[in-house]
Amino acid sequence: MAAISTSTAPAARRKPATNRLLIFGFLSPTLALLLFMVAFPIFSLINYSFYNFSVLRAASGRKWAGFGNYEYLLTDIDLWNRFVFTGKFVLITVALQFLVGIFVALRLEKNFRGRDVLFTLLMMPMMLSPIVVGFLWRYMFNSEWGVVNYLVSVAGFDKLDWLGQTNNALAAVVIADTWMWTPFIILLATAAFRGIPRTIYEAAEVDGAGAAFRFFRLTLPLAAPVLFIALLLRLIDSFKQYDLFFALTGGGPGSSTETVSFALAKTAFSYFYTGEASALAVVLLLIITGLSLILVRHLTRLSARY
Amino acid sequence: MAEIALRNLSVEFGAFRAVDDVDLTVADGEFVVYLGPSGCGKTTTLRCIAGLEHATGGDILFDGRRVNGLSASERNIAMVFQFVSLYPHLTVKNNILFPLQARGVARAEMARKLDWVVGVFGIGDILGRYPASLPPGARQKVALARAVIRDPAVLLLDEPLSAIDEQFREEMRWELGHLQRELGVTTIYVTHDQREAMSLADRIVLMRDGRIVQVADPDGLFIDPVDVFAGHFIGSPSMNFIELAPVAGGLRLADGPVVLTPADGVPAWAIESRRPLKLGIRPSFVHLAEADGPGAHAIPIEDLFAVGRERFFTFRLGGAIHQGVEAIGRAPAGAARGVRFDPKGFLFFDAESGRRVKPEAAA
Amino acid sequence: MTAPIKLSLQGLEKSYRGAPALRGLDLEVADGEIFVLLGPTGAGKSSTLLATAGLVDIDAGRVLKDGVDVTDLPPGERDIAIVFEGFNLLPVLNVYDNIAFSLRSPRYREAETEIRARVGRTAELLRISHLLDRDVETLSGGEKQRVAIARALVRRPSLLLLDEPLSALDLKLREGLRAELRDIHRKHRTTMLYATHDYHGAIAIADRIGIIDAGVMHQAADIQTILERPASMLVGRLVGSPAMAFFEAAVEGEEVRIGHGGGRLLLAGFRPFDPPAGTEVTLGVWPEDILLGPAGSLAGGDGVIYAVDNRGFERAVQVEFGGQFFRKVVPSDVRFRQGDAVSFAVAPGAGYLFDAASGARVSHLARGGRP
Repeated sequence: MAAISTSTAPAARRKPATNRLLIFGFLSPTLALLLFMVAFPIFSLINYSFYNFSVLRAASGRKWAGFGNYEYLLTDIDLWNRFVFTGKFVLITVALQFLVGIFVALRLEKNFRGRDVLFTLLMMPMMLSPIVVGFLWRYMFNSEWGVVNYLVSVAGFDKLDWLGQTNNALAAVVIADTWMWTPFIILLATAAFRGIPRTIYEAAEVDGAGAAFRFFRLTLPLAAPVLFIALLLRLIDSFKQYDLFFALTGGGPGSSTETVSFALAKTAFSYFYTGEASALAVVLLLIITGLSLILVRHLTRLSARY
Repeated sequence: MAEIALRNLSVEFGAFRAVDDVDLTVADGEFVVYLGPSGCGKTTTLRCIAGLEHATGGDILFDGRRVNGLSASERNIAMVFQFVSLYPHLTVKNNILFPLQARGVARAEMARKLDWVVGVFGIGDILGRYPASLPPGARQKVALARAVIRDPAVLLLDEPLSAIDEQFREEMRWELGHLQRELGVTTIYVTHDQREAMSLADRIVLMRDGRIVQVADPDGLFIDPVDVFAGHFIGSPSMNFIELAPVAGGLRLADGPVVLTPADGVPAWAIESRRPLKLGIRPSFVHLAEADGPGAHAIPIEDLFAVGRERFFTFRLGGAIHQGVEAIGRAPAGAARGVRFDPKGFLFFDAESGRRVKPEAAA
Repeated sequence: MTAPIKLSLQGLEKSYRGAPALRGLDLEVADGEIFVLLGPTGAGKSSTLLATAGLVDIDAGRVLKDGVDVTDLPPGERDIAIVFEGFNLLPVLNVYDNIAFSLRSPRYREAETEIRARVGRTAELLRISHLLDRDVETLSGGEKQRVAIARALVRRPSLLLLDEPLSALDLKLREGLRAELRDIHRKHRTTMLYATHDYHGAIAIADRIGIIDAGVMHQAADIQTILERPASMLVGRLVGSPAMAFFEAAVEGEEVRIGHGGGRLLLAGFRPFDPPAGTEVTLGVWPEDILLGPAGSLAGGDGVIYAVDNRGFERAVQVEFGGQFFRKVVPSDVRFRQGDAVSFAVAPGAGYLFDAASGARVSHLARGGRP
C-alpha cells in the first residue's frame, strides 16, 4: 500500500496547463455566440450611424456623414419632444406599478385560504406577449363598445374618448402597461419581503413597534436593495416600450404619443433612413447602458452587504 | 421588575400538546432557567409569556394581573432571541434606541438611557458599527442592551448562547451571570445545555414532553433528582445507572459478581425493598482504590485516562460502560486496583417507573 | 519518543489569497498515538489536516509519512483517511454504499464479498449495523458522524485525520463518541491526528497535545508536561478549566511585584532568569495554585467576586481586582456570592513568568510550579 511514487512532478504540475485548456474549451461556444450575435451587430450599428444611407438603396452606395446624423438628431425639436413624452410615460407608469405592486405584496404576506391560487392568477398578465396585451386593451378601450367605457358609464360618468385624445391615450397605455407589469413588482416585492427574517418582526413587536413603524423602519429599508433593482429593471424596460404603443395608439392621435422607440422604428422601417436610425439607436443604447451600469454596480454592492 | 406566574398553562397545536398544565411562579428579580431536550415545550412556554404564542388554556399573570389578552408590544417584556435579531440596517446605537423610538420617548431621556446602558455593557466603542461586522458574542451583548434599556418587567432569553462559538460561550456565560445579578431584572432563560442552567440559574425548571419534571435550585437538582431522566440530564459526565437485584444481605450490581452490602453504606431499606431498584451514582462518587483496600470491589478497569488534574476511568458492569473519577495524587500507584462506591452518592430509583425512591416510600 | 514516527510535518507554509494560515509549522506524530491539535478558530488546524492529506497545495515545507516525502503525492496515494467536521457524506447513497465507496474505487477494487465483510465489521465496530440500508439524510447527527468515521476506517488507513468531528453534536453525544473513539484506538492502534478547539474534548482522548495558533506550533507534549512547563501564554490560555490566570507583573530589583497589590515574589526563586533591564513580564499561575479566602485573610491582594458558576460538584468564581481578573474552582461547600470581598495570594513555589511581548515562557519557580 505504500506507493512510493517519486515521479510525481508530472502528476502535480499537470494541473495548471490542462486546466486552462479545459476552461477555454468550455467557454468557446458561448464566446463565439456572444461575438456573432451581440458584438458584431453592435459594431455594424455604430458603423452605420456614421453614414448617410438607406438599406433600400444600398446599391447607390454610402456617403460618409461623420457625426452628421447625430447633429441632426440633437437639433430635432420633435425628437426632444418625444424624449419628454417618453420620460413622462416612464415615470408615471413605473410609479404606479410600484405603489400598486408593493401594496398588493403586503396584502399577500399573511397566508389565507386561496392565497397561492390568487398569487398565480395575479402573475398571468406578465406572461402574455406585449402585442397581445396591446390589442386586448385596444378593444377594451374602444369608445363605443369597449369594456372600460361600459364600466365608466355604469359608474355614472360620461364615456371617454380614450384613444382619440393625447392625454387619454397616454393614460390608456399607462393603464395597460401597469396591468401588465405590476405582477413583476409584486413578485420581486414578495421575494424581498420574504427575505426578511421573521424574528426581526418579533423583536420589533416585543420592542413595542406598531405596524406602521415596523413597515417604514424595517420592511422598507430591508427590502430596499431588491426594490431598487426592480426599479431599475422597470425603468430600462419601460424606456424601450414599443409594442403597446404600436397596438394601442399607433403613435396617435397624429404623432402625439410617439415615444423615442416608436420614432426609431418609424425612421428605420417606414422611412428607411438607416443611417439616422442607427444613430438614434446608438443614443438609446448609451442611455440604457448607463442605467444598466448603475444596476450592475448596485447588484454587486447588494451581495456584499449583509 | 415583576413577578411572573403561570397557572395551568397549556398550549396545543392541533392535537399536539406542546405545553401541558404548567404551574410556576417566578419571583421578582429571580433568574429562572427552563431546561430540557429539544421539543420539551420550553421555548413554547417562553413565547407564551412573551405574547408571541397563544395559550390554549391557563393563565399568565404579571404581578397578579392577567395578561393573556395582551399582545407582545403591550406586555412590557424584553426578549433576546437565539438567532440574532438585531436590525441589520441599523447601527448598534440605533438598534439599542429602537424600542425607545418605537414608544416615542423624548430625546433627552433616550440619550440618558443610552449612556447608562453603554456604561453597564461597555459597548461605547462599537456604537457606530453594524451588526454584520460584529462577532456573535458582541451581537448578543447588543441585543441584551437593547432589551434592558426599557426597564422591562421581565427579560426573556431564548437559547441566546447556542449560536455562539463554543470558545466564546463560556465568556458570555460569565458575563450574563454577572449582569443579571447587577441589574436585578426578573429573567427567564431557555436552554438545552445543562451547564448553562447550572451556572446561571437561581432555580431550574426541568421540562420534558411539555410537562415539568422538577423545579429546584441547581444544587437541589444535582443532589436530589426526582427521577432517572433528571439524574441523567444534569451533570457532566453523566450519572451512572446500574441495575440492582436483591440477594441475601446486599444488592447485586447488574447481574455481575459484585454485591454491595451495608458495609459499603447500602441502607437497609434498599435491600429490603420489594420493588426492583436501580442505583444512580455520579462518577464523582466512584473512586479507584487499592484492590484489597476497604470497600474496594474487584471490577476490571477498562480504560484509564488523565483529564487535567483528574483521572477518569471506565469499567463495565453487565455490558454497560460506567465512569468514575479519581483525582491524581489519591490514586494508589500499585498495579491491582478496585472500585469503591462512596455511599454519599447513592441514589435509588424505581427500575420500572424511573422515579426516585426514598426511605419513607420504599415499603 | 521510542515509537517510530508516523507523520512528520516540516516547515509548512500556506497562505490563502495573501492571508497566511500556516507559518512554518512543525509537527511529529508517533506511530499508534492519538495526537490532538488544539487551538482557537483560525489557528490553522484545518489547514494542517488538509495539507497532510494533500487536499491543499502548500507553499513551502514537506510532509513525510513513514519517513517518505509525500508532499507531491496526490491525496489518493497517501493512505490517509479524513473525517470532516461536516461529515461530508454522499447524499445520493445509503449508509452501506457510503462506507463501501472507497473500497470500490479503482485504487482498491475489492471484491464485493470482501467489501461486504469489511463494511459489516466496521459497522459493527461503530454500532451502526442496523443503519446500513438507511438513507443518510434520515440519520441524526450522531449517527452521521459514526458513518463518517466508519467510512474512514473501513480502508484501514495508516493515518486517520479528524477535523473537529464532534463539534456539531451536543454534549452528551460527544462524551459517548469520544469513549468509542478511545475504544477503537485501543483495539486497532490506528494513528490519529485530531483537530479541535475544545479543551475538554482534547484531554479526553489525547496521548499528546499540540497547541497551535496563528499557523505555528507553540508546544507539543503530553498533558502532564504541558501543565508543568507551559511554553507560552497561549498554552496557558487554552489549557485547564479554568485556564491559567495572568497577572501584570513588574521586575523590581530582586523581586517580581504582582500588579495591584498581588504580592511579591523573590526573583531568586525563579530560574533560570536573568532579565535585561526594563523587561515586561506577565505572571501566569494555574488557578489551583491561587489561594482564595475572605477579605483580609490572606496577605496578598484584594478583590471582589464578579460572578459565580455552579458546576454541580464544584463551583468556579471569577475574581476582579484592579481591572484584572482570574477564575478559580472552589469546593462546593465554600459559599461565595457575587459582590463578596475576597483576598487572594499565590501559593509558594507556583508560577511562571512570560515575556509580555512575545508570550514565551522565560522562567518558572524553583519548585517546578505544580504540586
